[in-house]
Amino acid sequence: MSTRVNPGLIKEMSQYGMGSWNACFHCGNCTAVCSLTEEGILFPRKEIRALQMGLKDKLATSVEPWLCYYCGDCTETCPRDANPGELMMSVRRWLTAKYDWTGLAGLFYKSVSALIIAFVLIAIGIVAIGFVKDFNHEAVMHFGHSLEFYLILTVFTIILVPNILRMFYFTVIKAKVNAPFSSYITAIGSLILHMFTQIKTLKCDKQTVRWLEHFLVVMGYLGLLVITVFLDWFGTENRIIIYMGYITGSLVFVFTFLLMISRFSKARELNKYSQPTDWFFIIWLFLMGFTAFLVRLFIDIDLLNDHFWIYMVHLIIISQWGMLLVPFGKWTHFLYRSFAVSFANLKKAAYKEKLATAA
Amino acid sequence: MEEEKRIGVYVCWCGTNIAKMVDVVDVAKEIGKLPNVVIAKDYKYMCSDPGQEFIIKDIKEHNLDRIVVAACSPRMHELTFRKALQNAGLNPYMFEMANIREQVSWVHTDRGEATRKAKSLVAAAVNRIAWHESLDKRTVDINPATMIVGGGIAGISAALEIGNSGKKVFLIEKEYKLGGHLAGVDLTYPYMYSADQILKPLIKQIANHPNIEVFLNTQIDEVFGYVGNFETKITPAGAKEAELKFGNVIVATGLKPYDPGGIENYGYGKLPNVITSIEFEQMLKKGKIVTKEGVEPKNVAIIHCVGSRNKYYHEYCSRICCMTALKFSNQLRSALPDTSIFECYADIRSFGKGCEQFYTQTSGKDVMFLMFDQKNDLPRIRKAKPKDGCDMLIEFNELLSGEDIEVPADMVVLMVALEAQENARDMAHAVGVSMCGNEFYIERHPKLDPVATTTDGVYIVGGCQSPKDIPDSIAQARAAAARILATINIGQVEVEVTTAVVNEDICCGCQTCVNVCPYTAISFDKEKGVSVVNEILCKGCGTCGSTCPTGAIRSRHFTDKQILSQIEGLMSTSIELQEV
Repeated sequence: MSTRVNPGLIKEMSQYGMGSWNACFHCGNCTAVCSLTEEGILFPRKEIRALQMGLKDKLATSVEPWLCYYCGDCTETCPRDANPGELMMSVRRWLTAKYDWTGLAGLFYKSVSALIIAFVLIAIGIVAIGFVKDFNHEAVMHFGHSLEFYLILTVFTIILVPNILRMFYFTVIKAKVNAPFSSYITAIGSLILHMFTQIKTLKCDKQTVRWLEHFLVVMGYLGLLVITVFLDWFGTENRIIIYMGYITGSLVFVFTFLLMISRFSKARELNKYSQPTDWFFIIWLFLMGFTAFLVRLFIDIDLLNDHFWIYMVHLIIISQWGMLLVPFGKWTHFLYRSFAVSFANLKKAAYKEKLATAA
Repeated sequence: MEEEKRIGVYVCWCGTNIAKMVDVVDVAKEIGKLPNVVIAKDYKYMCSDPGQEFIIKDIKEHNLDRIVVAACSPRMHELTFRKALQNAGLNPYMFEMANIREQVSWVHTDRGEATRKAKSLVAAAVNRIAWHESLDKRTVDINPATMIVGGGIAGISAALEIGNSGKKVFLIEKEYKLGGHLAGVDLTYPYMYSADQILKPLIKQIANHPNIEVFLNTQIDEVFGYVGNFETKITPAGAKEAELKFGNVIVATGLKPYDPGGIENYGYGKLPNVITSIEFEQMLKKGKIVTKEGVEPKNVAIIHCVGSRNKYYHEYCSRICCMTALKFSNQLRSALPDTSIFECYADIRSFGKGCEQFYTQTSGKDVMFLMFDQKNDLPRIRKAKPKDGCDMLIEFNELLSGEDIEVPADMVVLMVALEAQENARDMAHAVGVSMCGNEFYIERHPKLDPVATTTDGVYIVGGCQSPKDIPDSIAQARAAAARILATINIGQVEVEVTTAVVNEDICCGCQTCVNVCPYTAISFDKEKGVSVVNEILCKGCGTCGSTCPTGAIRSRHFTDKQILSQIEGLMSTSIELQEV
């Protein structure tokens, strides 16, 4: 059965990132220099070809884009300036949109104005709730705390879990990966490891500092999440929790600030082509850590009563974060990347088995 | 052999070219034993300056009067060694060459057999040279007129170059107008100059040129004579026969597009919207890209290498099609911004000034490049079904992705190969040039002498030599013009004296030779009752000499005696030649 080529895909992809991908003439240098590609799991040249030819299904069912950690070696050494690294980034955004059953992820990637409108609407909604509650501190903060809790639950069950299942459907079932059952068990182990460590980044050349920055942000973010949502940072009297909150909060905003600087200075290959969604993601992460820090600080130095607006700002930020950036934005790479490692392991196991049967 | 002959024999190694397959030392040793051979030596490169010096020194020291060199083809170095003999004070015709490279070391794999064959060839040459005679050089005046056959861009450029220098040009064109294939071209790659803007001013210059005489609707049958003094008869359509005399010939007869009807996969002639690059070019020139149904195509596929680079059609690369295809994509993109363009290629060859940049530029214009296997799996074009949403579908395995794909197409442009003209063989006979296997004309040397041919005074330029783009055709044309102007400037040229000669005392007047001569070079002198050779027309083919019943007519340097003793040498048992 022949696949119909489709010249439209490359246009579609250009809404998710920029690169002169048609310039690629398939020397294969990118795949050769890549430290992460391996037998059976080849990228990025194959992905560029699928894009050039408009092989939509092939691209949508490939797990490889998630295995790239964007060290930029391929782009730096590409003889045609075809920018394979940015291609992988763009395909990841495109895949994020593909996995999302609501279609909102695609909408927000393609239309910044839609994203801004959604941000504004959420801000208005939070202010309206504050207004309804007469800006009673206790009531609003109680509402805020429950909102955080229910938001996590809803986003997880309604958006993220179905989307992960869709990713599994695309990359394993539709891609016809026939992995032995035992490989599923080991895949779960690698899932946990990679979700919390992103250890694969270290396989790329000269990425230790970048990995450490990212790791600390992830740790800070997860710590802050647990401390605010489950340990009630803003309500607790427990000193240890309070200090842990300060530490994790500052980890988040200090290191996101560093990341913002490198994105702004475009020093690294992966920071050269920022999309609006990249900026929103990092700025909101920064603001979230920073406002959380300030709220607790204002509580501790008894300023919150006179300056309750800081909590309102924080609540707006985390609502926008939780309702938009987590389910439909870049946040999902936290899940997709780690699941991709597991799915890739299934693919490798299937590949090995196929080789063994062929032999 | 009454008088004493003093022969020197030199066996060349040609580096390892000969030495690796022929035991040159042994050849020299054995030949040295033959009668009359005063000296027999081997040397690494006889054609080099030290090699020639070596011969000159020996001639003087050992008082040699004949030289045999066993080396490469006489085509390659006979003149080199003749000059060496001349420098040493010997007549250049007291030289014979035995070809032990092209005829021995390059074509054999058994060293023992090859060495034996080399010995017999050298022995033949030694036997023959004993009967060589001194021949006097002949110089002739060069007729300053030039005939140029073919009025395409190459012929036109050469005509203007020569005409502008004040020399006469006869420009012969078989069509009713000048311009050749370029007249059918719209824009030219890679700078998108209009072909008309290139060509039309040149044609206008020719039309008003005092030195250029143009003959349209005219073909050449036969050219007689040799460098400096050629002549031919032409019959322009509707005009009476004219006789032209000229000193040099430029063959610029060009080439023709391949007819893709023979390639079944492409359905040319059956599917109406499968057209050739020539037909598409005409569309571009008219400024209207439409299908047979009269609508703008939504999908255009361009298939490369149609008839080129394939053992079943032509094995060579037609050289201009890749860039022309890229040019098509550019023009299509400008004319039809929303049309999908597919370039189905085997390899993109974008060498040449500005061409790689042109390729890069085109690849940024939303053109999809798809690679097919030219060797084993040509694309197949079939009529699409209504649900497919296009006129045709092209199917093949795409090499860079490994996917079996189908490409939608409403118009397919076949980048057809360029091949030698239908009458290339006749033309080659008429002017005396050689052809390679694919009927393109062969230059004298592929690197060092790219526009001359093995016939002095005949030059080949442009597409008749191999497919070429405009700059290369013009460069060749002007190079040939420069070569010709140089010979005209010298005014005289040395010619071979190996023509037929009649011994009037023996000639019985039977006129057999007059009847067999293929060049009508022999006439009959009724008064004397003997045959007379016109040395300008005679090409020294030897047909007359071999048919003459009395031996009155003979070819200089190819006398019966010389040839028979050569055969004798070849069959000689004086050295152990055969073991059977």
